[in-house]
Amino acid sequence: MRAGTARSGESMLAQLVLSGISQGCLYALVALAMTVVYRATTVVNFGHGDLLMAGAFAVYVLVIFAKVPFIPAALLAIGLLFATGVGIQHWLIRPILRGPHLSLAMMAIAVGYFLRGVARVFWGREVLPFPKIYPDKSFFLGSVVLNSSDLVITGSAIALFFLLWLLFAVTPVGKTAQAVFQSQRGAALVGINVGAFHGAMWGLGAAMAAVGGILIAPVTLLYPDMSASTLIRGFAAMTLGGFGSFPGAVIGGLLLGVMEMLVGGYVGSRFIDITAYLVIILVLLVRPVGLFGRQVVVRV
Amino acid sequence: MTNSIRRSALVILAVTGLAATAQAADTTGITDTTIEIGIPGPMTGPNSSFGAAVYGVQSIYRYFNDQGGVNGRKFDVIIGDTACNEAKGVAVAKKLISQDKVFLINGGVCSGVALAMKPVIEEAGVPWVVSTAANQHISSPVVPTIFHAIQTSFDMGVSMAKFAISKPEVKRIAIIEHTNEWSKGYRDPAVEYLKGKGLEPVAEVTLERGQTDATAQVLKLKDVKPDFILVILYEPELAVFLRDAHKYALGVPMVGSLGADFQSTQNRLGGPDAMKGFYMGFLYKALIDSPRMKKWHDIVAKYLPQGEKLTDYSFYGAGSAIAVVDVLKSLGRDVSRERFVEAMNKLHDFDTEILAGTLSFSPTNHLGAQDLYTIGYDDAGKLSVYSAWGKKAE
Amino acid sequence: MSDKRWLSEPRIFYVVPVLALAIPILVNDYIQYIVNLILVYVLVGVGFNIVIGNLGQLAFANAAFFGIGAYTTGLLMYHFQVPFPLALVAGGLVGAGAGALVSLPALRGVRGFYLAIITLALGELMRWVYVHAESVTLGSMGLHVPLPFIGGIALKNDYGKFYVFLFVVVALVVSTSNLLRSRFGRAFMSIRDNELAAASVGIHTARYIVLAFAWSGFVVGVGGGLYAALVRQVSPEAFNLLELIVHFAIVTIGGLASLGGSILGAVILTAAPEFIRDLPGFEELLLATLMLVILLFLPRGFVSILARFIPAIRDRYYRE
Repeated sequence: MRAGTARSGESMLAQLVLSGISQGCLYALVALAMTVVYRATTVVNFGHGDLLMAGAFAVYVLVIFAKVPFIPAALLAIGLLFATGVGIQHWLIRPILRGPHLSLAMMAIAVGYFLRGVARVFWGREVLPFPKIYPDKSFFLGSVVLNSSDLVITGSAIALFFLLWLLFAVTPVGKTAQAVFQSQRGAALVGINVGAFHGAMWGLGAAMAAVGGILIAPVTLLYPDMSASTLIRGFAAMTLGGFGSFPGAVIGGLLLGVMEMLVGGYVGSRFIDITAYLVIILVLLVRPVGLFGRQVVVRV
Repeated sequence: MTNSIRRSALVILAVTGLAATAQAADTTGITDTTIEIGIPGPMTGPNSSFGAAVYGVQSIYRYFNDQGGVNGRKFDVIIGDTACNEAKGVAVAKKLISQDKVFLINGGVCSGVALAMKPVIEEAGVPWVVSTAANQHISSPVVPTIFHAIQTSFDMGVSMAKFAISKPEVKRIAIIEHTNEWSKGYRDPAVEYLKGKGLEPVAEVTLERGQTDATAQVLKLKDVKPDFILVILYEPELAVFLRDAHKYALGVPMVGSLGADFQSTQNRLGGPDAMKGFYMGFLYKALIDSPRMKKWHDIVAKYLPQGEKLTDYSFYGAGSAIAVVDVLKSLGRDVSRERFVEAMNKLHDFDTEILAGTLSFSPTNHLGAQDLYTIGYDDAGKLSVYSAWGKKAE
Repeated sequence: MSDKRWLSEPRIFYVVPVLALAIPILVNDYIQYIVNLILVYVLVGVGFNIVIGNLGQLAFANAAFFGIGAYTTGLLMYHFQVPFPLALVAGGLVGAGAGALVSLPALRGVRGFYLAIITLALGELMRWVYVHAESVTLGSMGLHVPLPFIGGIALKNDYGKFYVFLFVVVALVVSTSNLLRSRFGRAFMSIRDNELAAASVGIHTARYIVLAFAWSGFVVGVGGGLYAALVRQVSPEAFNLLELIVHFAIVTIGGLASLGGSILGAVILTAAPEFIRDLPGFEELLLATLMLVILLFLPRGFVSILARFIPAIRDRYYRE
């Protein structure tokens, strides 16, 4: 691709859509992780963004200070975050699960803020480069350019979606989830350890956050506020796709990514930020269930 | 008492009274052995990485303390954490002035916060030598007690435009920027300068803070076929833009502003190759780790607090402190705020040994530093400091 | 026990503003400024608590109301030289309007986390507007608010501002107290506790929801106006999500659905940072830990501890 080659409208559209899908995979990942937690415990984790950041920092610490090679470090970080998720659910969420939604939301926010504080204590004064594991190369698909990060993000996301699908559709986990979701008492009566299940789902959500953080860190770089904007994109994806719906989270994320790119390319780059906000506001006002969701509004 | 004695007493009283009110010099913050210096800056919060500049300024004062201080007085430095927040910034200014009663303020990093502090500091008549904040409206129009001892975004904007057109045959200039006042602070003087040379930007593209993809912007710029691009972005977005510019082979020389650190950006992108063709405004005389800067580099490094790392931001204010100390030295033992301001107004071509060019103030001009260089990789792959395209600074 | 009855008498609190009148004589400019900032955040806390404490809705638009009030007051003074008292009331009214607007999703039945998300989105949208409506709001560097004048007298320093702020805050706190102790306040809480039951006994929940949101918006909007006069520089970053977390901390740590809690929270959250400086992350850790502890062990906030010694601080929901 030579500099200065005129781009046709078609190839610009194709470029924007493909880049949008790559961005959208990230949003889908975030939305999916929050959906897992939401489906299992009906709690929306407002501190999810900071779990992404924690996962990325965990990898950084392992690679730079403990000199662990990247892939084992990533796996270790994912495991660490899984444990963190279980811990958060057990010590902080479970005691107040019967309380008002407000307390749960505040708890999630407080946990996230705590993680942010920890990150600031250690790295508040610097912005760190994330250890590089794949080379920065560009690939051409006709007149469309893809970066190695596009491929890694999209590929990882697809692999993760597939694994999740396997987990829920094929293994007993899916049946357990169904049972718990329909009736916690019933599930307990049948011998399902509801508490452990909830913990595992929070762990899974946190582990997915770690994956998201690892994917996003090379792009945003490592600093305590790195995932600030990703959280609300995740909400927008969940809203668009429909709260509580797994396919909704994925499709919502992809759609949001593409929409943002198109808005940026055709309307103006200053409007990219508000795409997510407008999606949330419009969907919740006009069609609260989104594309695939269940009942959202309360009729009084 | 007789009438004549009473009259004499009255005369004596009157004269003493007159003398007392005549020139009550303001020596707040000065004792026989100390001079209190206040340094406001973002030590906590999302922008705490800029707090490094505050420690750099403090290092200078600590160094001079070790050298015996100034005319028998040592510096007592009080750092105020603004967290880059206006409400906190005003609190810090008031604390330094009313509670800590500092002699002068030598700091100010976040421009928005500096603007919020300005009325408070101006009202109190405390001399303020701005060390780091780049917005020229802090000290212009002239406020008698406020001095800007660092290059402003106005100077930087002009410098960027100058550099771009110093390359031969450059006519089509495009700009990529944030949609915020900070960017405008660079963009407006740059565009004004270009207009003065009969040129207008062929395109202006925006990239929002927090965006992690610049595809649309790069494609738009490619369409426009510029000869040079002015890049007015903060570091994270700069890295994103440069990455995508390489991805789509934009292939146009670019010059960036001072919202980023060259080395740090290079680290993000993975190495010097990613920075080819990209130049950046540069405040200092020479590269920080070059022999020419060694003296102050080592001094700043030595006097940093325990646990703080030396970054490029550490020097972003040190020059102003060197000037302040020099001016205080020139006053001898008779130090007062009025005399300090008077002496600052007489500062001419003062070489801080850190900042590019020299510092000069006058009663009608408090923008003391206006020269800037540009850094980038030369054809041999060596990082160099330029005074114009193809011309290295000596 | 009877000699301690006066501690249960709510009217003792009127002593506080009277005693406070002496503050300007006793403190320096800096402390006075902090006191003024506390007063601003009292309004922020009181307003927020109405909606998330008393009404029990997850409306996370408080930082937006704060900003709307600050920008309204500041812009009126900057562009049109509107006198401060008028600009302040305008800030409150626009805040009330915004509150009513934000109550729309709630009226349509959006609840719980969904309401939280949509109100967050509204807040962030407002911030985008502040940044991009540059010709009006002067963009992200913010706008410099001119000196506030009241009836020809300039409020040049924080001492003068204090008397004005004290008056405004006392007036709004007393009004809010009256509101919460009236049938309106009881309706708010019945909606919070069991909306269906409330509707079934004939409470027009919609009216009360809008009222709660509008009053909350008014109070926080006035707080924003006071902020504009105090700091005199209004910029978008002051009303972002990190600011919202501070608002959460105020009502949670102070005490949900408690007027005394809002005030206590405002004092703690405004004064504490003045002692925790220079150490990145410490303030965040302290706030987060306090919130976690309160949510787990002391859900009614610190005010519940205070209430053991001064029972009068407990909110009364019925007129004596």
